[in-house]
Amino acid sequence: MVSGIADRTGAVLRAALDSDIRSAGVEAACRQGLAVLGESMRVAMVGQIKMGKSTLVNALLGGHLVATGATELTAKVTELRWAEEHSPVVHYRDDRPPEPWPAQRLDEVTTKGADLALLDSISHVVIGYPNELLHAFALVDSPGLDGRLSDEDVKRLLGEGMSSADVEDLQSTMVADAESAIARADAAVFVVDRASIGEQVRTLAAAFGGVGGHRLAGPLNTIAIINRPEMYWPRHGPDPLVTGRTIIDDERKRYPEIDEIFFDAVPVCGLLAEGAQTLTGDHLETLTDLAHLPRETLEEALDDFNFFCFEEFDDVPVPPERRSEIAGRIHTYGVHLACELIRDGVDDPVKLRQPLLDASGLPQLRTLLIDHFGNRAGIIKADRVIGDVHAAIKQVRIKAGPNEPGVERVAGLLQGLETQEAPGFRELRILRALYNGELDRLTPDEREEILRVTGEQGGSVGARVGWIPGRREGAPGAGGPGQPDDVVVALREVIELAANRAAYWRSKHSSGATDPAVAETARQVGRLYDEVRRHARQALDHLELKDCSR
Amino acid sequence: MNDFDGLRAEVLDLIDDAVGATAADLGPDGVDRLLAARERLVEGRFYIVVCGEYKRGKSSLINALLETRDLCPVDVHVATSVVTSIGYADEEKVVVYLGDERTPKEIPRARISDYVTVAGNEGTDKDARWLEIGLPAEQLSQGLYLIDTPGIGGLNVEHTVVTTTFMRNADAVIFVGDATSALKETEVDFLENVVKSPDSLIVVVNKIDAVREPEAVVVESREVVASALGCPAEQLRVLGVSSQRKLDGAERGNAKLLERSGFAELEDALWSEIGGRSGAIQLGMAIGELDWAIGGVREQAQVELLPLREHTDQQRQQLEDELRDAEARRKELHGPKAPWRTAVNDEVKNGLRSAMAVFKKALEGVSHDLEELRAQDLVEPDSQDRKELELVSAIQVAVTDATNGVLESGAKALAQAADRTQLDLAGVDGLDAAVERYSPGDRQGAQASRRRPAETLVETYKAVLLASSAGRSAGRIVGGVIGASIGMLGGDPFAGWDNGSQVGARTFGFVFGVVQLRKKRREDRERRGKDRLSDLQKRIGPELKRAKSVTEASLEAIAAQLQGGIVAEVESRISAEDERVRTMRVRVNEAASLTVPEITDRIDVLEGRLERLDGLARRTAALRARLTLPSAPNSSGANDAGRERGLVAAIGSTDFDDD
Repeated sequence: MVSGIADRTGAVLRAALDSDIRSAGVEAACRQGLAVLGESMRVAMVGQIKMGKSTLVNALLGGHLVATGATELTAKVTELRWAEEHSPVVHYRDDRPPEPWPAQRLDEVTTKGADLALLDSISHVVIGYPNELLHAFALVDSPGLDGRLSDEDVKRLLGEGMSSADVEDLQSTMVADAESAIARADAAVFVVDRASIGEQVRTLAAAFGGVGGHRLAGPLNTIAIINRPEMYWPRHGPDPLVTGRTIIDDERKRYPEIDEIFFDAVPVCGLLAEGAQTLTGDHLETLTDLAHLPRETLEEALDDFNFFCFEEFDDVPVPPERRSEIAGRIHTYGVHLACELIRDGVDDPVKLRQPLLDASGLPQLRTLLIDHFGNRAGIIKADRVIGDVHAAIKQVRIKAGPNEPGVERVAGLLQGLETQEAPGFRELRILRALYNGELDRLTPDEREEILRVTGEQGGSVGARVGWIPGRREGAPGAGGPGQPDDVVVALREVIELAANRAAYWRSKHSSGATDPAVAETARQVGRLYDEVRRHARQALDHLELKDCSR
Repeated sequence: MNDFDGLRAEVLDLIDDAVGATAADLGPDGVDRLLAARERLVEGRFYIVVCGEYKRGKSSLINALLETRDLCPVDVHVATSVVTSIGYADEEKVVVYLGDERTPKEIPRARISDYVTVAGNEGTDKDARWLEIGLPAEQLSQGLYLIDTPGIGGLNVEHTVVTTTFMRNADAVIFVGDATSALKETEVDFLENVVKSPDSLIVVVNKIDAVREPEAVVVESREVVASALGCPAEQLRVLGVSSQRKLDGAERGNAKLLERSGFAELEDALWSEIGGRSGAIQLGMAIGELDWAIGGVREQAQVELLPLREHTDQQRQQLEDELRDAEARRKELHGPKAPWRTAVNDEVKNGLRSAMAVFKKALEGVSHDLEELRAQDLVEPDSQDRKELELVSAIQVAVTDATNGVLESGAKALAQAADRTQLDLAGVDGLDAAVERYSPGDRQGAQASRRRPAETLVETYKAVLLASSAGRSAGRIVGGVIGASIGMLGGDPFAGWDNGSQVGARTFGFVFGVVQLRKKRREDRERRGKDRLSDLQKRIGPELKRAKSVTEASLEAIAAQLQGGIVAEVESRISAEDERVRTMRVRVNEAASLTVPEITDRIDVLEGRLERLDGLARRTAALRARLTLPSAPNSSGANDAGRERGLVAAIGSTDFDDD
């Protein structure tokens, strides 16, 4: 179902390109659209400088792939795609062909410590990496949006013989690269500071509402990460994720825009997430020494991060350098968690990994990314491509009015496409209505159901109706999953569920919901359930047919 | 004890000594002036506005300054939405001003967060506008008022407007940043567009306990702020602090935590900021008054000594005549047709007229913009918000400019009066030291400040006006606009105040009105969908009219009040001088009938008094020199202890010789 929308959109664009459009802009938009549909989806990490974007990328992919750290900042746009093995490739601005690049020398081309002439000649870096997540989409790490080099960096660059004009150039190139990378992206993860989330959201919405002609500021294709909630530990609560969510909920009350722009906003302890995956035996040794201290002594030492890294404590025999190393890697919060685990008998850095990761909020973020972006890749891309072509058409109309027959033909094609009574487009229309706030009269449960039936939790018929195996009384468990009997029963349940829900939404439609948007959506949702039922029925028929023939 | 506090304590001591030494000769009016100067110094209020982004630890900083953990709510999930003022009181008292109610409601400390936080205040019927906390805290006992403002934000009109209003009249501004995250664009914008100048600014980087290398953040913040304000980085005060260490250290009596909290440095910076500006003006005023009193009585003694030592009847007579002439000149000054009165009258009237014209023009500009907006029909909500911020600020600026214009005309009037009466009104001499200390252009020392351009002179007189009893009677303008803003936020609790504060109140009231409208409209929009700009026109239009009429009325009132205050100030000075000259004449006259032993006794008394007065004058000069520090450490030469006053200089041209 999901791939359908991309295919149909592609077919319309090809049809448009076959006709005589007579507008270079619209033609380019169609071509670009076809290219986008053919590629895997791109998700960009967007945010101001030093927000920890690269740390999050590394954490998500479970390795130190892109440079992080106080002074080592991403200077080049880095795209991470799925590959069998770790394989960076450098792309140049000039005609030179892309060049494979040794992974251990990556810092030379992605951070600002690099040779300037080299850095200047590179347009972007693509890193192939064998991580599951990259099956769902490519991740794009970009330089900070504010393009502000820290003073330290500027001094260093000037000290290395760079002229101030060159420094300016570097800054503006960084910003331009970041902006075009974001413009090319299909979806975005905005990394925002935990202070004044609402204000940042407003600013971002103003800045990215119209990037590249399509909206990169709407719940369909954006989520937000509130970074470094661990800074609130321990004074503001024992679990930074809980503290972070409390803050987000409070901001939502004051800034309803947050829900208009982001599908969700989640707290993630980026440092802990990256550090947890790179713990070594040495670290475990430090942590074990710390865990052997009286709990109270340790907690008191952890209370002041700065002191923990540098102070001599009479009652803490672990030297400051070792404390500083471990706190810099997993934060004092991570040290606290790890020591609790060690006291409970964990004695292996690998076994520390999962509980620390869970506490960082990273697995939850991963799930959210796969659910919301991965499962909707087709819809998101089609929405973006259609939006881009519309924007190009609008440009022509502003100049010449609706008088260009070639362009108007494309507009007609697009309109036909969008109003298709086909899955995918139906979902897109429903989601647009939902995210535009037209469905606020529905109950939260109903809105949740809309997300589910449009594929939020996966595109399978079961996922769309919220079918849970064995939920029903008397459901046979003997066959085990995958056994034909079991599947038949499951499909019957799905069909029944879909029929019930379709009836519910149809009655909502005909019971004269006064709001036309709600009424129309109710009809569409009913139709969507019909589709699900039909697919399930076809599958069942197929199985039963096979059964008969056996 | 900090620098300012120490100076102030010494000036107060000196005033007490001077009152003791001069009361008999100064006359009641003169003594009143000294006592009033003393009272002003004791009552001096300093407004420290604490501002910054949400969740940067503003409230925890204030708690740490006051060493009280639970005063300002610091929970991470709440944000302050209400302005809070915290000042000294003998007993703790917390009052909140709600909605349009005129009387505040007293609440226990524990319930503060129910009222001042966004969570507690919004969506409820509480509608708190202003919170006032009186606290028996030693740190506040010297007249410090801390103003905690709502978090700023790039597009948060409500809070930015509120904070801006307070900042314009602050004695010092503390901008709170956070070591755990770099300064954001919104913060840099705020510094660039609202704070604007490094004067009286202290940048605090809080939470240095939470990062590995706080020094690096302090250095970077300094650079970023310097480039936002366009000033050299060295000129800024940027301090790393840890509220957590300060509070823990104070609670546990842990000296190391206190030392490493950075708060000692912050308090020093704060007081030296105050001592360097507003405090310097107050001290300068008091020193000027001391100069006048000590110098005046000293002159009396010197004049009285002349006939006692010389014995010539003719010379005594000549002196008496001189003094009688001087007295007569003073009489003229008292007259209803005295030229200085006309000058003051004209100056204020003209000032008012041009202020009104400027204000009218500014409002026309805003109306024009509104018309233009309307012509554009439907506008995106975002740009509508931005436009509205611009309009609101434009009106606010217009009102502030107009008020300032009137105030400036008062300063010019005072300068005119000083010129026409040849009186040193409100101790300009003492103020030189203060002006030298804080006006960056005049840092070269006494030489430069002796030849001040007219502009600086007006500034000086404005400072005089602000700190003098004239300024006070014209509306407590020292902190007046803050007071007024307080008034409006709290539903005008200072309704009894006179007009100066009401201008501020009405300005702020208008701003607040627009802010409220905005909030309502946003709610409406949420309820029934998009909104048209013509609504903005519909709503701002009448507000604009109202703002115009109340502001004009207020400007007229403040001008009248100001003029009355200046006249009263000049008259008070003339009367005090009258008394002094009359006493001199009477004493000179009496000298004629003294016997020889009586004359010897009298000479002894006078010489003893002169010695004491010289001592007091030296102390005054020394204090003035210290006030001028650190910018001009050796500028006291021109202000030597025995500097002659006008009258003695005039008399010196007769045949008498001083020594």
